[in-house]
Amino acid sequence: MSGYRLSPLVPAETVEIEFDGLRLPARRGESLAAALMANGISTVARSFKYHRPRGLLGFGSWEPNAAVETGEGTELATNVRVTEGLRARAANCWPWARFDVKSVLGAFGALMPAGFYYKTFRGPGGRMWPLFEPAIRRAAGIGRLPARAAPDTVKRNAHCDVLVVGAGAAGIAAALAAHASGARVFLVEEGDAPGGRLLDRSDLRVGHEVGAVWARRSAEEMTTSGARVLLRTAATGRYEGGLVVAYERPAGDRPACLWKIRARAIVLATGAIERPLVFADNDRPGVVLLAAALAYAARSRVAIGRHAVAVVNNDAAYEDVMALVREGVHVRHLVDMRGNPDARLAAGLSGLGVELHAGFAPVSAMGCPVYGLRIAGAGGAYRDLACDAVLMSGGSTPLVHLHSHAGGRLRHSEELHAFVPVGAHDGARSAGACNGRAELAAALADGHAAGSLAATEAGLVAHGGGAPVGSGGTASVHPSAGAVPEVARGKAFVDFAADVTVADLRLAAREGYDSVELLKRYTTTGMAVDQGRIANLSAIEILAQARGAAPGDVGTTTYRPPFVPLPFVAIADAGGALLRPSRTTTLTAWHEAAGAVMYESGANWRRPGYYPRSGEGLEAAVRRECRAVRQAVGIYDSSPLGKFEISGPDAAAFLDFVYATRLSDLAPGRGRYALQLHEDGRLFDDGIVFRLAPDRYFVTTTTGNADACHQRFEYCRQVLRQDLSIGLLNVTEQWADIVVCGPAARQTIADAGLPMPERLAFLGMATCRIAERGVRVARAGFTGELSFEYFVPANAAPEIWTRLLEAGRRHGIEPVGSEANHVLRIEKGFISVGHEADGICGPDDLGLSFAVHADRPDFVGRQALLRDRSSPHGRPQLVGLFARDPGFVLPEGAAVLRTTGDRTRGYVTASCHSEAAGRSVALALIEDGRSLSGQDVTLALADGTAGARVVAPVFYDPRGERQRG
Amino acid sequence: MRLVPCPHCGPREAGEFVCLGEGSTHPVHADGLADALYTRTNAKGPAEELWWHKFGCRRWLRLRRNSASNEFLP
Amino acid sequence: MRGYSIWALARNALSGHSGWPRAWRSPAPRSSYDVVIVGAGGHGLATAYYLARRHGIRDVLVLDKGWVGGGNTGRNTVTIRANYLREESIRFHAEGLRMWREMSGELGFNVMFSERGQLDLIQTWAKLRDVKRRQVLLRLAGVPFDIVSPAAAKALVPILDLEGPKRLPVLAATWHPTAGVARHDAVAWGYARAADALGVDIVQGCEVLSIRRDRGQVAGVETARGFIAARKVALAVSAHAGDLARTAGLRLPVETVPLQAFVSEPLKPMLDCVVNCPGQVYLSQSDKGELVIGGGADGVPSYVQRGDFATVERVVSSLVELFPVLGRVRMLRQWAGAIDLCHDTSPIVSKTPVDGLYLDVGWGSGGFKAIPAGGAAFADLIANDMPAAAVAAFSLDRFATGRPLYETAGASNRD
Repeated sequence: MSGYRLSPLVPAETVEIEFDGLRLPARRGESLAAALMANGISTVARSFKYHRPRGLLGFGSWEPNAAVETGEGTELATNVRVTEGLRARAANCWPWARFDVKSVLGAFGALMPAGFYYKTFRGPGGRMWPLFEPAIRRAAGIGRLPARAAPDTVKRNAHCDVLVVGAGAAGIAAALAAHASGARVFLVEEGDAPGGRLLDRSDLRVGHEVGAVWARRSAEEMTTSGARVLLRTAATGRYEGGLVVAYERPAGDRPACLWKIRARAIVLATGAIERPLVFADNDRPGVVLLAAALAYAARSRVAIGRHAVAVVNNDAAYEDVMALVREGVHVRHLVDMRGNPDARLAAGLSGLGVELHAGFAPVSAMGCPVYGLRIAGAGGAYRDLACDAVLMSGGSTPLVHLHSHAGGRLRHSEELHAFVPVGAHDGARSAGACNGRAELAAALADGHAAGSLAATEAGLVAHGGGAPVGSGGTASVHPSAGAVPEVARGKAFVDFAADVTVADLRLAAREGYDSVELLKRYTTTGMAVDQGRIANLSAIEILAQARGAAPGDVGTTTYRPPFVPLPFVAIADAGGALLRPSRTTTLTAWHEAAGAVMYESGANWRRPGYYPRSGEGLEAAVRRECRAVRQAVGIYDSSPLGKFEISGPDAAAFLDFVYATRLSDLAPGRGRYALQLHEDGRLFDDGIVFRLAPDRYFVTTTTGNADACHQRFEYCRQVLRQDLSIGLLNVTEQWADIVVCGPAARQTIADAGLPMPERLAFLGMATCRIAERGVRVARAGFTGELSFEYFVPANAAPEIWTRLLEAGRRHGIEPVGSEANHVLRIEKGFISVGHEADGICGPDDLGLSFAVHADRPDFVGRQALLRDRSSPHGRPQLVGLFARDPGFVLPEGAAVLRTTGDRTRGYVTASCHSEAAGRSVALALIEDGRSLSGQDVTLALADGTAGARVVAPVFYDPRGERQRG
Repeated sequence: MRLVPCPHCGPREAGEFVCLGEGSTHPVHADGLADALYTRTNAKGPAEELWWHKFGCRRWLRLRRNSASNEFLP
Repeated sequence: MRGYSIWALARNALSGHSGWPRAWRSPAPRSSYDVVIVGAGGHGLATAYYLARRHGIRDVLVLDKGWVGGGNTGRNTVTIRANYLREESIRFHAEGLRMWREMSGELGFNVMFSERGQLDLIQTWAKLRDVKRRQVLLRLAGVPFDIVSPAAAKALVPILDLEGPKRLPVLAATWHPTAGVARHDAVAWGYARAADALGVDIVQGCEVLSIRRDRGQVAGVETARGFIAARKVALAVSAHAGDLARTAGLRLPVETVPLQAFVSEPLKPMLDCVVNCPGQVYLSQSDKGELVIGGGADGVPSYVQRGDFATVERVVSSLVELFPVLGRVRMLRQWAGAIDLCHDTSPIVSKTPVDGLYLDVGWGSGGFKAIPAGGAAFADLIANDMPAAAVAAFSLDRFATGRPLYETAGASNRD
């Protein structure tokens, strides 16, 4: 190939770029592909599997070969803009595309037919793959990981009446029709300018304007009058709910943008791309798609070569060749695979000095880069045509992807030798070339009709005007011959990007991989970067030939988003703290200032784990905090606890239904430890429920389950028990919760000047006022000590907290984190949801039968609970464990075995060193564990074993005198 | 982003909802307990489902949807 | 069955590869079989193979409405691991890992099983507690499994970013060195070819419409190509098991939900193992160079093999958070499978109240890894009419007796 510029470079717009170590002059803003072609660089890439030299085949996103690395990732040279100092290298080769050491792989091509790896690399016993795999992995892959960090991208949501995808003739006609009907229109176009093929063909006219001028003017006028036209924006996928995702890459400094567009109606005018022809060595540098050569000439003013040969199977290609010649590119021969050329078109050609060879098929490309094309006539007569470029046109492939993403059906069109959409689907209708209407007049009419219908569907009255009238471009794109010859020799490529040949496809069909999906998977056709846009139709045609079936019966594979590859950074939402915002209490700032080590706990809350003093580790801090609670006073922030207010005449009946614990006989001012079960009898949640008044309850739940409890309360209220009249409020975040606990709790509160109802008994609750704010005080807690729990308005918490701390100083108060709380609750044998309540156990298993009142007729989980009670054997039961060595803390998760070698019977749910018990203690769930009380068991640890004795699951103040005190 | 037709709020993105599918039955007899607790009709086609508009009106909704197409049905 | 080898490749290269026979036959179904297996995915084909190989039952038909391996076998993200929670599951999958290592040799087909190891990132204390429990059980089952530091995780997965501002820091990681990946299609094709060579008939493109019963006993299947009689009928159809079982009068504790996956453009090797951030995102790099990425299932029951974009955004957000260097890498293709999820997220390999009807369903997102061990156990069950010890815990009646095998304990809030 000997590409050159059709218009000379002007110094003002010239920049120097580097490609594969070569310094090249280029025009600022053009595509790297155009710059390479202009500089006569023919080999721009190496193929995926055989490392064959490859040139440019297509244009824009329809380029299967030219992957380059620019430091910003792997990108198609056709999509890389030339800027000052651009440095790029061909991907997947070393050191360069023009000389690639790995091309030796091509010599073994005969050993690498489709699926060759399934048949070898096994070695004796089939276990040798790991030896071969690293080399295969190094050979595969295309680009390297980009070194530079991902750029900023933004996301925007948009709503409109009519979304039109593609700003070619049909798309603009559709947008105009919808716009004229008063619809809010979005028009997105992947290219730099509106017009599509109108940009390449100055002979195409709309009304009395040149088509490209009409396209630009129409887009500008629509923009001025309120429509949104987004250029350089590719619609990448259609998803449920009518969502269209589009990716905009603005030319300037604006960040890339992922648009999420919802439209009342959608027009798909995505056009069509040209099909390559299949012949030997059709992948040689210099063999390109005719439409691409025309686009390079018309849009980038770059010629593919000095004497080209076109080989075509359809009439429209004649017009493209004539247009190319008019752009100044010399085309010496046109080879028509069909016998009877259209006289008018043939005359047009000869007027431009192009020699016509009708009834000849391409046999092979000669040279690398190409210097000739061998063609064969019906009688087997060969002709060798000298050339420096071969331009292929094998008909067109309508881009039906967006129609298919939403599940739209396709049918095979015999005229087009291609699949086209069947009707509108899921609010979207296709128009123009993607709908099989490629000729200009037909495309304009189709687009106009689709735009009007879309406006109607969007609830507007269609504007009565007629479609724009096109002239020129009347030749049919219908190929009257397939793109694949019956016999192909040599390496005739079907999928350039995946390096799949006709022989590969025929082999796969012969081996029984003869449905379109099996064929794709066995040969990898259509699975490379271009996702088979170039290859699909030819592959289907070859499979149909092999099966003796019609292509329509063979069918297509399913098209999946994205339509063009989409960088992950464009899809991702903001990370870091915004990924899943964490929740803080009004005391979080205090905890952090106090140097607390903050933990992530349930429901996205951040909580203090422990408060180390300088030089203090976790264990020392926890011991100090525990000691304060047991011997003096501790204070902790329990605000994340789930809190609900349930009121109304049926509040008691409602809670009796939701909870396995009877709550209707609770006296006002009293609370009770209560359990919720899953319908299948497993323990779901626990907490203390207080009765504030006969028709009012204050319900606490675990932190992690607060949302799930809310859902369940609403479910019971709205679905299961519509007969009950209650009010339900989730007040989790309205109330902060400060717990003061320990023998000196009372004095601390008194010293802080906080109200403390004198006769408040254990599990009682009273309301009082602090600084004119209503608060609720309860005698409850999770430590087993004398505890007062202050539920205070969230914004009042910091002041009260500080007052308590200051007053408590002389009593030895310590703030207590979740680590110390964990130890304190293990010592008491209090279960924790997520530890002992592991989503499997029932209340009886956990020794909580006291909190279940199954003598009532009905509550959630009752039937399953009765079922479980009827077969109590073999269930996990909560027990305590004493390690044989009292200084050894059994690891949580250790498995419990009766003896070494036994199957596992359970596991350690929680374990710690207990200063109060003077030894290590643990809780465990063990099959029939209570019957093992006093017996020795073996524990399997991550490394080794340990011995332990089964004991009662309470290690401190078993009669609960301290918390009642 | 699926849209769910909330009869109270209008179409809203599915992220606002919790889908409970066929729902959680509340068995009141021991007979057929396992069936009530665990089995699902799980039919491919139209079915009635329970959705909770968690980040909206907080209503539980009974909606008909075709599990073969994900379309909500009137 | 003609052997596949480098020598056969070289020999065939001389004849332009025109001499390769069909990998499996394309027979017309006969009117009656000993065993009809519904579903020519990995499970159905492996079951047929083991019936023929281990039990000498060769009068077997495998039916599929689509093509071999066209369901979840060909859609999944190929992770093979044993780090489950329940001892029954761990022992089953530990045996599976052993069978995977032997598979290419056994089938004479390179399924590209690659013991690359799996790294799980631990970001919460609750998860750390959970993996400590798994570690003990895995080691008891002879599966190596280590809890390692964030620095060690970074050494195994250099693209992991531990530095930037993270929503949740990586507290630790687990390393499961014998986990791996394989080529999904090859597994289906390898079993199909091997089963076919033992005389099993595989018929594609033939939908089973219903199961015919004769009193309490299975009689055969009604298909798109007519009735086919069978002494035993085995369902290995994942998402569609419920609809088929219903034709035999059975209701299953199974729900069908979509599970999405996607791949990136092919890149040079930069990720050697499987890396998983539980509940958020997991990825591995295929031999072709693509990153194969998955996340959690969509929350809405559906048979549509098409996912919600919100799920993609959620999974990719986690991906870019943990591996910001992948931000510029481009997503090439996304798809979804319809998985069958049991109430307790453990599978069902079981007899049924209908004599001669057997179930192998409910594998959820874990069906691929269970192909060899599941196929062998299911074949065993069909042949002997008795569950093997390995799958006794997966019986259907665990629900009736109120002993479900909850696999996602701790996190299980399903009502």
